[in-house]
Amino acid sequence: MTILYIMIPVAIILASFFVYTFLWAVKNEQFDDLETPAHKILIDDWNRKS
Amino acid sequence: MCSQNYYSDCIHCGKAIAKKENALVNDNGNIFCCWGCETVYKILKKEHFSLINKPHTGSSEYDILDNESFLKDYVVLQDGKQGMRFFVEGIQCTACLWIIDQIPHWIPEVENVHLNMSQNTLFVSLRTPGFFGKVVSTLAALGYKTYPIKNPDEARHFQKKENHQQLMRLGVAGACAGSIMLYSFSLYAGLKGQMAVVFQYITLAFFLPVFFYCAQPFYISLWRSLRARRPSIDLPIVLAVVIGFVLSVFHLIQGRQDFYFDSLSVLILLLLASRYLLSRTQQKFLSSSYLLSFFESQICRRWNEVHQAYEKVSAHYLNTGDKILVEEGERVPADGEVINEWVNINPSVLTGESLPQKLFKGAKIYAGTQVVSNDAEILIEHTAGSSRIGKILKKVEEQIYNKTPLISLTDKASQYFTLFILSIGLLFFFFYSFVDITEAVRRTLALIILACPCALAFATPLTQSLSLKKASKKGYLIKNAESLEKLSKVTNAFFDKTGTLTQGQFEFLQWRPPHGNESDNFMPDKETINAIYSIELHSQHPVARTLVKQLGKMCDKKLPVHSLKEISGVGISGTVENNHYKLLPALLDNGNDDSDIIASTVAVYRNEILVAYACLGDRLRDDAKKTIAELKKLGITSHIVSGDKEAPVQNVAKRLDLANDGIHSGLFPEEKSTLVNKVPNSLMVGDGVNDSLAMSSCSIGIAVQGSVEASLVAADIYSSKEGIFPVLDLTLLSKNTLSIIKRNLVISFIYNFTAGIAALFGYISPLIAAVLMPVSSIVIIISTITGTKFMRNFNK
Amino acid sequence: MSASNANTSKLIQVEYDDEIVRMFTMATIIWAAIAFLIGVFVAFQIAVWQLNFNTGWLTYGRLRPVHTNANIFAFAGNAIFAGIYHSSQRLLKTRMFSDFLGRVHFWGWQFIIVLAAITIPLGLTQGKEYAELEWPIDILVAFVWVVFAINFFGTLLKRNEKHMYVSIWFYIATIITVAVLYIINAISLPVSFSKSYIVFAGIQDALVQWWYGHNAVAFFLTTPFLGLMYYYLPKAVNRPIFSYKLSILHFWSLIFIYIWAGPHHLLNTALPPWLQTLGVIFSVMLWAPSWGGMVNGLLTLRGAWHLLRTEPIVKFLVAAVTFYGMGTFEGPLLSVRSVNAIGHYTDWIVGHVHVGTLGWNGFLSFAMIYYIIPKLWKTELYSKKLANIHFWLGLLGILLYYISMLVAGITQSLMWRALDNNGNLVYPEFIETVIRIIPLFYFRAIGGVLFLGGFLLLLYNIYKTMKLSSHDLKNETVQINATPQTVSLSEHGHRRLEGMAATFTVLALIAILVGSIIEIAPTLSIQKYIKPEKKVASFTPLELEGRDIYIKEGCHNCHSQMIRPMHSEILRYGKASTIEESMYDRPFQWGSKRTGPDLARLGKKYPDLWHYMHMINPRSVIKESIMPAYPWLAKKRTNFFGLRKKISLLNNMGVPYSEKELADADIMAEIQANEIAESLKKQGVKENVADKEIVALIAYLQALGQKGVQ
Repeated sequence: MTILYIMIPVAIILASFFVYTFLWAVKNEQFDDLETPAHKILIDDWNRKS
Repeated sequence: MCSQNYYSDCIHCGKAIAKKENALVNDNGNIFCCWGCETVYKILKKEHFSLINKPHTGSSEYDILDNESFLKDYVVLQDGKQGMRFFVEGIQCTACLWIIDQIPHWIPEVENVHLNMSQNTLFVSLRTPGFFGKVVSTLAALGYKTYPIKNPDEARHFQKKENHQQLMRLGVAGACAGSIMLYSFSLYAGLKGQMAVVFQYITLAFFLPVFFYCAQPFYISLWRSLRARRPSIDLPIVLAVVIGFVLSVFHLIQGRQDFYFDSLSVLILLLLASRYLLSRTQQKFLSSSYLLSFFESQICRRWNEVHQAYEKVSAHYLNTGDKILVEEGERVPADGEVINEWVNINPSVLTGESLPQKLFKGAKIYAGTQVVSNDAEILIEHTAGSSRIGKILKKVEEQIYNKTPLISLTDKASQYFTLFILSIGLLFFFFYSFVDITEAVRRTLALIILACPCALAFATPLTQSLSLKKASKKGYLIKNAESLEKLSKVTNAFFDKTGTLTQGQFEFLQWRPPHGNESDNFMPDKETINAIYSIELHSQHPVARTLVKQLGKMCDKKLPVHSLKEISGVGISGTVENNHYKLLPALLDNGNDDSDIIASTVAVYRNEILVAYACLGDRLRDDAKKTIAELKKLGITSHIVSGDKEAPVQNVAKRLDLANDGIHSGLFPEEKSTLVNKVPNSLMVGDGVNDSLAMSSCSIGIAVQGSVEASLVAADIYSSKEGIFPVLDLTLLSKNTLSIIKRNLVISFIYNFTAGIAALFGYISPLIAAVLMPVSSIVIIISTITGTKFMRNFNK
Repeated sequence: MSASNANTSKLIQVEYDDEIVRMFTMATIIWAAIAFLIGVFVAFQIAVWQLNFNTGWLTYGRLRPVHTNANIFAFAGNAIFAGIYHSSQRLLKTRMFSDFLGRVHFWGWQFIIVLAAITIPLGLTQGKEYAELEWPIDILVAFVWVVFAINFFGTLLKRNEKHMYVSIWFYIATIITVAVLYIINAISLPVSFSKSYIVFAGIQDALVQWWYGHNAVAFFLTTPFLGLMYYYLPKAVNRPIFSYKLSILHFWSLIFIYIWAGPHHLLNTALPPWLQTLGVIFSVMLWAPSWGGMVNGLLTLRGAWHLLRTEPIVKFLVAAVTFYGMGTFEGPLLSVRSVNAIGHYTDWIVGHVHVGTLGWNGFLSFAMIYYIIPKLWKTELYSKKLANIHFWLGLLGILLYYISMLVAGITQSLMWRALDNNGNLVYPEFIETVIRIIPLFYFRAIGGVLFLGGFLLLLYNIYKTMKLSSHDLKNETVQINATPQTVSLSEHGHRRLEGMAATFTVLALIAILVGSIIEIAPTLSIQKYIKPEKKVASFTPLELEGRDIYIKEGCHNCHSQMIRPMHSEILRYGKASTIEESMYDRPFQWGSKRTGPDLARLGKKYPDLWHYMHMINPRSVIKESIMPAYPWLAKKRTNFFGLRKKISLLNNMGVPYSEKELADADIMAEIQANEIAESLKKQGVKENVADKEIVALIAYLQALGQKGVQ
C-alpha cells in the first residue's frame, strides 16, 4: 500500500493544477458570460454561406 | 409541449415561443423569435440580399451619441480607440449574434463588436471616432432597441470582482471538500495504522484553505453584524467552524479519532453555493436597471446662441438658464418656464391626473411631464437633480436606505435557536464535565455541529431564490428576497388610480344619446360628426385634441367653418353648412357602465338642440375588480390613493366595491407617502413617479407596468405584465414561499432536536454526523424543490 | 463580405491546417477497419478454438491486446486527434501552433501503432491491460504525447478568441491527465531492449494499473469524446448546446471525481476493504455529472428532433450520447460490491465495455467522420442512405453484442456460485460453465460482424465521397476580426511559450526528481506493509522464466490469479488470496476476465504430465476445453542465459534471492528443468524437453499458490 504515498501526491498535484486553472479561468473572465460562447461556435458556418 | 405555455416555434431557429405577443410575423406569415432570425431566414432564402449587405439607415436621430458632451460620460478608451457599451433589447438566439457580428463589415470604421448574451450588452469599439450613432441606427434598422450604458462605475466593477471572488471561493471549497471527503471516507471505511494518521493530516491540510479563505465571508459578515449588535445566522456557523476546527486540530495532535473537517467543509461548500446562486439571481434582476441610465441620457435640444440653432445634447449637460425645445411626445428634462405661446402636457407622472393640461406662456413646467401637443420651448430653472421630480427621487433613495431591514423569520428563528443550543450545550458541559471531561467536550461539540442551523441557513435562501427565479420567468422582477417575505404579511393594499387600476390613458370612450340613459351603439349622424371634427380642429384644448384624434377615423371630410368662437372655459362654437354647432362641457352621471371612467363630457348642440354627448376619460383595467375581490378573500383590505379629483376616484371605488373610508383623492405624492406610512404592513401598488415616494415608504411597493425607469428605483417589485393581476399572483407566491420555508424550519427543528438529544447521550459519532448532515440537507432540498402545488404550477 | 479599406483593417487571414485533420481522419478510418476486423476475429476465436491455426502470434492471448490497443490508441486515438485538430483550430480561431509538430505527432503516432502491431503479437508485452507496450515504445509514446501537448498549448496561447469553449477544457484535461497517468503506470526497469519489469509489484501494481486503467477509460475514452460531443453535436443540429453553464459544471465535477474511481476494478479482491469502499463511493458519485452531460446533449435537440429522422449524423450522435448514458449508469451499478461480485471476471464486463467503445466512442467517431469528410473534401456525402443503413447495422450489432454478453456473464456467474443442498458446488467442473455460454459467443461474434459490416459501408461511402471531390483540396481560410487583445495574444503567444519553456523546464526537473523518488520509494518500502512472518518465498529462476512465458503467451487474458473471499470461490479454488502471495508479482496477475478458471492455487493440483499434455493439446485432458493448443512450447528453447540479468535486476528491486541464485541463476534453472524433464520422461514423454519453454511454464504453474507461508 506504500504506493499510495506516491499516488496521493500525484493526485494532489493534478488536482492543484486543475484548481489553479480554475482560479485562472475565473480571473480571466472565462466564466463571466456563459451564454454567448454556445452560440458563437455555430456562426462560422453561416459566414461561409453568405 | 404545454399548450398554455406554447404558441409556436421560430421557423428559423426552432426556439419555442411562449406567447403570441412575443412572436414576430413577417409578410409571408412566417413566425420568428427575433429580428435576427427573421433577417437570417431572409438571407438563407435569398429573398432580401440587399438588406444584409447593408441595412438602410437614413436616420440621424442617434448622432448625439458622437457628441463631445455625450462621449465624455460613455466612452471607454482602449489602446487609444473609442469603445462604448450598450444594452440591446431583443437578443434571442444565434441569429442575433451573427447579425450583430456583421456590423464591422457594414461599418468599416467599427473595429470590433462583442455581444454578451447573458447580459444583453454589446461592446463596440471604433477605429475612427464618430460612428456610434451609425451603429445604433443600424441596429435600430434591424429591429433592436439599443441604449448606451455609462462606464462601469466603481460599484459595478467591484461587483464583478466580488462575483469572481465568490466563484473562486466556491471552486476551492468544492475541490477541498471533495478531497476531504475522500480521505475521511477512507478513515470511516476502516483505514487504520500509520496511513490513517497521514490521511488525517491530509484532511487538515485541505481544510486550511477552507477555513482561512473560503469561510472568510462568514467571518466578515459576523463581524459586521456584531458591530451592529445584532446576532446573525452567521454566529452559529462561525462558532461551529472555529470550535470544530480548533478541537479537530487538538484531537489530531492528541492522536484521537474525532475530526469534523469533512462535515465543516461540506457545510461551508453548501452555504457558499446557495449564497452564490442567490446573489447571482438577484444581480440578474438588478442589471435591468441599466435602463435607468438611459432616462438620464435622454437627448434634448438646446438653443445655441452662436449657431442660432438647436443642437442635441444629453439632458445631463443642461444648465439653469438654457433654452430648450421639447417636441411633441417627449418628456420634459428639467423644471422651467414655458416661453412659447401654449403647450399641452400630460402631468400624470407627478399628479397622477389623467386629464391633459394646457399651459400658457410663463407657466411653470416640471421635469418628467410629457408634452402631448405642440412643441414646448422652455427656459430652464432647475436641472434634473434639483427639479421637483429629482427631489422626489432623491427622497425615495433616502427612504430606501432608512428603511429598517426586517429581521427575517429564519434569522430570528436561528438566533433563538442558536442561543438555546449554546446554553443547553454549556449547561450540559458544565454538569457532565464532573462525570467525564473528554466525553463532555466530545458530546457538546457534536451537539453544536449537528445543531448548527445549516439546513436552515441555506434552505431559506434556496427557497427564496427558487421563487425569485420562477417570478422572473413570469416577468416579475423582485429586487430582493426580503420583499417576498414582507409581501406575505401585507394586510393593507394601497392602489394608485390612474395607470394602475385604470389604463391611464385619456381617450374617447363613447357617445351618449341626448335623452334617456343607455342605448348601445348610439352614434350621431355623419353630418354632425363631420361638423364636430371640423370645428374641433380649430381648438387647442386637450379635450378637442382627443376628439379630433378619434373623429379623424370616422369622418369623411373636413368642412369650412364660419363664425368660429371660443367660449370661456372649454367650449367652442361655429357654423358648418348653415347649421350652428355648440360644444360645451357637461356633467353627466356615469350610469352603470362597468369599465369606463368618464372624466369629461362634451355636450353637442345643433342649432341649440342637444343632439349627443361625447364621453372622454379613462378605462378601468379588466382584472381590477377580480383581483381586489380575491385579495379581500386573502384578508387584504384595498385602498385607493390618488392625486386625481374626488369624482372620478369615487367612481372607480364604486365599481370595485370599495368602502368609502378607503378612498383618498387629491393627494400630492408627499401626502400619499404619509398616508401609507401610517399603516403597518402596507403594500403600495403604483405606476409612476408620483407613486414612488409612497412605494418606498410603505412596507413593500409593487410597480405595475408603466415607467420602468422611475418605478424600479422605488418599488421592491416590478411587474412587466399588463394589469394588476400580478399583485394577487405575487401575494400567493410569497405566501407559498413562506409556507415552504416554515415547513423546512419544522423539518430542521425536528432533525436538530432528535439529533441533539442523541448527541447529548453520546450516540452520535463523527461518522453518523457526517452522514446525517448531508442527509438532512438533502431532505430540505427535496422539500424545497418539490415545494407546494402552487409553486409547481406557478409558471404554467 | 467586404473589407473595403484593407489598410486600416485589422482583419487577419487565418488559414486552418486542414491537411493534418485529413491525415488523422484517414488514419482513423483505416485503423478502425483493422481494429474491428481483429475484434471480430478474436470473438470467433473464443467460440472456435481452432482459429489460431496453430500459430503463436495468431493466438487469442496475443491478439486480444492487439485488438484493445488498436481500438483505444489507433482508432479512438486518431479519432480524438482528428477531432481536436479540426475543432480546436475553429474554436480558437487560429492555425495550429506548428505544422511540423503536427506532422511529427501524426507520423510518430502511426509509427507507434505499427510497432505495437508488430511487438504485441510477438509476445513482447508488459502484461498490463491497455499498457502492454514495452518500454522503448512507451518512451516514444511519451515523446509524441509531449509533442502533441506543445502543439496544442501553443495553439491555445496564440488563439484569436479569448474565451475557451468547454471542449477545449476537456481536451486540456485529457492531455495533462493521460500524460501523468501513462508515464507513472509505465515506469519499469529494462532487462533488455524487449523486456522490462514494472517497478511496482503485486497490490502496488494493481492499484497503479487500475488507477491508470480506469482513467484510460475516463481520460482517453470519455473526456476527449465529451469535448468532441460538445462541439459536433451543436454543429450537427445547428443549435447551441442546451445549457452551456451545465456543460462547464459537467467538466469541473467530472475532473475532480473521475480520478478516484479506479479501485472499483479491484472489488472483492485482496485490496483492503476501505479502499474498495472508497472506489465504490466515488464511482457512484460519478453518476450525477455523467447523466448531467447526457441530458445536456440530448436536450440540445429540443425542437430539432425531426433531424433524427433524416440526418444519419444526428442519429449517430443521439445514439452515442444515449450509450454514454447507459454506460455511465451501468458503471456505477457494477461498482456496487454485490453487483460486482456477480459481474466481475465475467462477460458482463466485456459487454459493458463494448457499450462504451462501440456505442459511445464508435458512434460518436462515425458521426464526426460523416461530418468532417464532406466538409474537408468540399463535397456532399455520397449517400445518406448508406449512412442510415450503417447506423441500423451498427446499432443492431451493439445490441446483439451487449445482450449476449450480459446473458453470458450472468449465466456463468450464477453457475459459478450455485450450491446444492449439501453446500457443494453444483458445477464443480469449470468447463461446464463454459459450455453453457458458447452459443452466446457466436451471437457476440455475429454482433461484431454486423458492426463491422456497417463500418464497411462507411468505408465505401467515404471512398465514393472522396471520389466526388475535386482533387484540389484547399485549406479553409477565414477572416478574423482581431481585437487588440487577441492580436497581442497571438503576437505574444510564441514569446510567452518561450517564457513558459523556462517554467516548463523547472517543472520537468521537479517531475524527474519526483519520478526518481517514485522509482526508489517502492523498492525501499516494499516489505514494509507486510509483516515479516507473512513473507512468501520468491520464484526460482526457472519459475520466473516460466512466468515470463506465461505473460508472453497472454495467459492472463483468460486466467485470473485472485481467489475472491466468497464462499463459492473458496470451495472451487481454495483459500482466498492474500496480498502477500502476490508481493513479488511483476506485473500483478489478479486478472480481469475468467474465460478459463482461476489459477492462483493451481500448483501441485495436477502432475507435471497433465500440464504437459494440456499444453500440447488441452482436449486430451479436458474433452470440451476451448483453450487453444500451444504445441510450440515444446519446441522453443528456454533462454536460460538471460536469467542472471533478470534475477539480479529483481533482486535490486527488492525480491530476495540468495547469493547462489544471483551468481548461478541459469545453472540453477537448468538443474530444475532437468528434474522436471526427468519426471516427465518417467511418466512417458518421449522427447527430452529439459531446455524447452514448456518445462519452465510447468515449473511456474506448479509453483502457483505454493510460495505462501501459511
